[in-house]
Amino acid sequence: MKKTLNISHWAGLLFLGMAILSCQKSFLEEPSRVVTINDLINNPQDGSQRIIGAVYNRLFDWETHSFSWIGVSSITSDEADKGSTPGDGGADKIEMETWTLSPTNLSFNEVWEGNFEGVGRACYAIEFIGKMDLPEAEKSRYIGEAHFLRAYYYWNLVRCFGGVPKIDRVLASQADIEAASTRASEAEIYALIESDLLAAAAILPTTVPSSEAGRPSRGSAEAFLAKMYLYRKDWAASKAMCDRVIGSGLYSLLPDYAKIWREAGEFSSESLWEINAVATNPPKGITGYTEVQGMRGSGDGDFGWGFNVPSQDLINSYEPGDKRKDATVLVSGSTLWDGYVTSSTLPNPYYNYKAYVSRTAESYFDRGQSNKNLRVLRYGDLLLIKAEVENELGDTTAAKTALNQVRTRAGLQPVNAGSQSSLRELIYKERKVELAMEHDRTFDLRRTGRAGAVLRALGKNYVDGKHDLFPIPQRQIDLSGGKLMQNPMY
Amino acid sequence: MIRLRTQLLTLIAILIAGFSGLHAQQILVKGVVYDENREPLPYATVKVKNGTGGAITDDAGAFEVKAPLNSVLVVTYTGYNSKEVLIDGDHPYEITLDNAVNLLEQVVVVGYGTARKSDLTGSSIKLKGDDIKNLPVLSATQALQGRAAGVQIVNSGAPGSAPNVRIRGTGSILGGVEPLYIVDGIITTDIRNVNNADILSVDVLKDASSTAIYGARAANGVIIIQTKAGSKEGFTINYDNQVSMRLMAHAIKMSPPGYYAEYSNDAAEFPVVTGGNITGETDWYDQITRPALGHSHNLSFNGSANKYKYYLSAGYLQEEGMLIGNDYTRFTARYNHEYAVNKRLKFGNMLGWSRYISDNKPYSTFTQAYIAAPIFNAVNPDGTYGNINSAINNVGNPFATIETLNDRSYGQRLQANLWGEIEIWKNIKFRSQGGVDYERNNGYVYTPEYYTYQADGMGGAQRNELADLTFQRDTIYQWVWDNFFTWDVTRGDEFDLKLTVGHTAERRDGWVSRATISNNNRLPTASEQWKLNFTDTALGQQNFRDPITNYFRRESYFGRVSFKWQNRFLMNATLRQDANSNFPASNRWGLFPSIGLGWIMSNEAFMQKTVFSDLKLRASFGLVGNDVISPGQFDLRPTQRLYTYFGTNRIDGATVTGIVDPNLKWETVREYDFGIEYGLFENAIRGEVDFYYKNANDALYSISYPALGFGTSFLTNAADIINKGVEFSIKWNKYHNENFSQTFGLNFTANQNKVQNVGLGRALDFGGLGNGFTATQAVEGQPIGAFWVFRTDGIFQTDEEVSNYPHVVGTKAGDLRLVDINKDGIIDNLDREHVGSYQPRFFGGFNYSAKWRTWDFGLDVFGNFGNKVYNAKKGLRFGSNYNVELDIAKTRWKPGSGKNDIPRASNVTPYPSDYFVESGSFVRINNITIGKRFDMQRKWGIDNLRVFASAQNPFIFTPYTGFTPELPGKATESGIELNIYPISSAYLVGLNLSLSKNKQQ
Repeated sequence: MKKTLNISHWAGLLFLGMAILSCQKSFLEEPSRVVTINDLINNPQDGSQRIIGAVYNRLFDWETHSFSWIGVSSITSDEADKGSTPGDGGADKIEMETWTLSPTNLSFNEVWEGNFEGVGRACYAIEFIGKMDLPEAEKSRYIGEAHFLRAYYYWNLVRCFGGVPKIDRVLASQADIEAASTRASEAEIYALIESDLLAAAAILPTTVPSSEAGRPSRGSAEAFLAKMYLYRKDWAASKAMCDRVIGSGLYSLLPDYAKIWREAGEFSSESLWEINAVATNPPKGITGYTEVQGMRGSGDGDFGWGFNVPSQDLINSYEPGDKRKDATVLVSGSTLWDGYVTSSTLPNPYYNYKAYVSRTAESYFDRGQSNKNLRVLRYGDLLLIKAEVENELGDTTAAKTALNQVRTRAGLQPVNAGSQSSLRELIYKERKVELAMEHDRTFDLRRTGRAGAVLRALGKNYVDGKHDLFPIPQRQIDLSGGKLMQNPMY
Repeated sequence: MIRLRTQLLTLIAILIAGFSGLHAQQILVKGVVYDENREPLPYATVKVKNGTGGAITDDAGAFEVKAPLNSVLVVTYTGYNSKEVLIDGDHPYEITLDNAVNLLEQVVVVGYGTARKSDLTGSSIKLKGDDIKNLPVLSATQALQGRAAGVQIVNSGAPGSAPNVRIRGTGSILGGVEPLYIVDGIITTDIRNVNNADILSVDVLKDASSTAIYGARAANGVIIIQTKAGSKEGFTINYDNQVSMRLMAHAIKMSPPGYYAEYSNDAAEFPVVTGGNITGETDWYDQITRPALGHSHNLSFNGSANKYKYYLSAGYLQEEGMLIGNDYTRFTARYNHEYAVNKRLKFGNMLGWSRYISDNKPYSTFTQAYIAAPIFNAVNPDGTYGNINSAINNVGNPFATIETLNDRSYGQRLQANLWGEIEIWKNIKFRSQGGVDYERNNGYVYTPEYYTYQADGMGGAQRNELADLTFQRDTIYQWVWDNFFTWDVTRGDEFDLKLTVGHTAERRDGWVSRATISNNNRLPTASEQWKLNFTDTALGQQNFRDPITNYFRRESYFGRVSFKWQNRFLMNATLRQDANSNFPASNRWGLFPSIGLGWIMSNEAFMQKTVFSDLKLRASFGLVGNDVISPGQFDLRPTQRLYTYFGTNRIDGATVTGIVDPNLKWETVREYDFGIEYGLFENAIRGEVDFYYKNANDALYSISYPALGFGTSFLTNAADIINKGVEFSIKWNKYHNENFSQTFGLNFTANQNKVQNVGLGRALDFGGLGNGFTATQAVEGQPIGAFWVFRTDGIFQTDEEVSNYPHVVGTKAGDLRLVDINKDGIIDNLDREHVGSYQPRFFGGFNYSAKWRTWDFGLDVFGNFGNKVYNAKKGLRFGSNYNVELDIAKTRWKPGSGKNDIPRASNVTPYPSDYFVESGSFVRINNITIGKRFDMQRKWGIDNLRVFASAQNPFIFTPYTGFTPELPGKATESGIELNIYPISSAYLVGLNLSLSKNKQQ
């Protein structure tokens, strides 16, 4: 009896001891095992790369540059038809093609969300990298890139929607968000784009080595400024930027136009800025970009969904002998540059050749994540900007010089004579064929005030004063509690 | 079996008594009365039948009574079946009374202790393990359906899945909604590792007076599961077995090729499906489903020796799913043991181990089979997988999908609880219990390179050009350590006081690792795949290792005072102080009090001559919390793996998104309960009525804002969620005689759920329909997950009619007419209305059981009323010539048909509308069982053999036209039938066998 009592006492003491031990206060301090933003800031070498990397990453997302963007920037124009099968509307692509646009169209909301997310990431990069302990050159270059990318995301937003909320810093609280949920004017957004691009141009290096391909250079920012000033009809400022880029001597037209969109033409002498898609494992392509536009065949001939196909109107626009036609328009039943023979029974007669990726002659991962770089800014575009602004400034000779460089490469005769106004029309026409299927056309038509006439002639329901801007997505208006105002007539 | 034998003896004795006549001599009979758990039963009445004399048992259950030899003693005790015993000599008598339906003196499990049901001031329900073990269900909660008022169970047909369990309504929008489970002291969220045959009892705690001792995690109710701990005496071997077959409870007939082609061609308005396209005929549901077999075996050893009590068991369960290739296998083993060192000191353990292997097939195959064209072969004559030109139908081949996907999860779990209890001083006990829960779950998903082929030999669109392999391993461990004192003071009938105070600490942690390869050439051979190394990048794998998302540390203090005065007045107060590391340090501790009061009216003098054998009123109030929220919600954590490449150099991009509420805290729920427990006619009829009101007034809500690059919403405490309702139960236990007894039970629950006072009033959208639309909302004034749809009023009969009414772009004659509710001439979201939710207004069950001689019979009926279901499968067709239900193909609108209910053949994505919203009400026969018991007379040592046959879910009565109105899912979007694994009907036979070596005869 005595012995067992002792066991009991010992056991009791043991329990009590353990109970007291377990009451230590530090127990609740859970050490953080996941990366926090401070871990990134406190490891500047790694952290700065990762934070700026995330700003680029948004360029590849579905919302930013894929189906919706294709719909909004290309299917809306005269150069492309919806494509695919009659029954497959691709959510709202019939509405895009016919201009029966509605604020509830998914595409507008995705473009809004895709680009604003990019704006936000750029703001974080500017703020966090600014706080980091890094060599000044490295730090300012990253910040310069963030400014460049923010300008690019805003460029897409302002061309679609006009004035949008102006976000030039990190929003950190609900109060910040509520305060920012109103539209700035179009001019204010362009001013932000201009200041971002000027900041970038001042910082970015003149050349980017191939190991950093995908990052913008000074030339990228200057060419972007040239195009932005063109949209603002600030001819002189645009000309100055064109001259800087041309005068740098770093860029030239690639002799073979068709090669620009092949893997072999990535980051060529013509490239001013492109989005660097990679099809190694893990792949990072623009999600779905080539799949959405791929030939809608069956079996081995199934390359995708077959949307955004060159229109008959585009095909009719090429002059005889224009090499660019065969580089732009993939004809069903033909043999492609890599030897692939396409089916002649595809649902569409034409597909976008600039979105074609070879399974055999190029890096290939899968349809969803392709190696197709998006050529955002290239020298051919810049030369036509140069031609246009010189013409508007009255120097038709300089205008023709630039224009004819582009025409000569295309295998066409140079333009010899012409008044300012006839030259203007020729330059507009040249932009259409040179930049076909490059997400430029709809905005170009609107910029020059021709959208209504051109699109209505094709039977589209374009309403002047309404369709010069796309509708603000209803979802965003709803989320703002009505503080975001809709564009006129929607 | 003891009872049976005693009854038999009694019967024989009565017969003998009849012959042996009247000249009996008086002897002194001594004995002890026990309850079914072999606990002595004090205050039982012992009377001589047809004679004088009697006694009341003492505290040890003992009695002495003078009775004539060969007379019969009648032993009664309130709430127990009375028993007659023949006096055949002056040896000691051991008499066991059955507690068949007695709720009154039930010992129920409460947090950190046990209590008599009659002493409770809160609302709880107890289910015995024996009521569950013969049902063909994986986890015990599935068996609660229709048996427990206030407990809503939504089952899934998928093998190995857990049901949704909602106690007293859905209590949270964005926090957890499942109850807390406590298995032998270990707090968990998943009980699929517990073998039902090992369960002693399941206690469901419903109101704050019962649950508040679990503080910050108690808001959704608490379910306490205890496993068997060994019998007091002797040794028993039990073997239970079931063999079952499952069939789809309700099949849907899809269109065959002819109707399919006609519908598709009408929809496209030109011939897209012509004779040449029809290369086969396949009923995809026939192709992918099967009658599913299942069986289970459980073997247990239960007994005691000297100071040891033990329970040892092994279980095996194998269940096929209705989808071909979908299988679930579980092994369980348990060793529970208790050792009493002396009267004051006891040690014990509860040790459960389980292992499962689950071959998974995607639930979406059910939807794939719904939309796939019926016009090609699953398998071509040459043995390849069939397909069809994707321009006609891009769904692919559902059969190829399930055949080529190798998705296996397997894992094991060890749950162990070690405890010691010591009586330190008179009636002061200290108990320490430590639990460990270790889980390892592995997932292996492998899709080989495969192709499908059209009938013309062309390759099909469905293919996998690169074999891919993903291997995942989750390792989770959790421990809990409870230490508490109890003090029990009793002064006869004057008062009874129980105090409990304690402390508990808990931690959960673990890792998730994953490796993925997608490559033909460098994929390891099949035998090597299982060894995939998470850190080896040589194969071009993508690897990562992350912490689990629901890790935590918790620490709590708790206490309870239970006081009973004069057997009439009850008071029960609890307090818990809880801390959770997942909240900011400034906001980490919370206090959760409760108080319950009770009045046992039937013990008042003025109630003695009424029909009420029991009447208790009780009321309770308390605060409980809901802290189920993943860590890091209140600080900015970067999103990672945002890859980008510079040249060929990959950058693992990382950024933060959104804004956070630095003051985020758990939800606090105020709970009120008022209850009546009643017993009539010597407790032959018993039941409870409860009224409850729960208000979570700082419920988590996600306030949304425009997308400006900083997320689109942030989580904060900004809504009220109210659940109020009534629960009613009644049970009539009719003991006709020892050969025949019946039990009738009925329970129902009416619950009303509502979201109120949402911050900024902005609704949250949920419930994706798979076609770009969503159909549910969390919004002020509506229940959680309210369906938000357009109203329709018939069908446009002519294009002219279309142009005269507001309509959406593309509307034609034959389309549904959406109502312009706000009459602004435009059909937009402002015209959508809330038309009810998946949450039932009313649900309940009816249970009947009978015993007649050696036969037993049971019937369970479950009913669910007043909710809505969204039949989303019907709204999937757009673009790609998806198949449609035969009924729709046959009876749809056609020009001039004048039909006003089913719209035309169309390829346009349908707007979410009330056309798809159907009644979710149903009544179902949940279970019919018939069993027969064989008294084996200890032949081959067998005491008891019961064989039974039962049907689970054999009949359902519902207006719903889809697979099943029973649709488990998230609180915010349940009730959308899409990718659902339908409920099955199961038919089974089984046996229960026991062998014992008991001291008692």
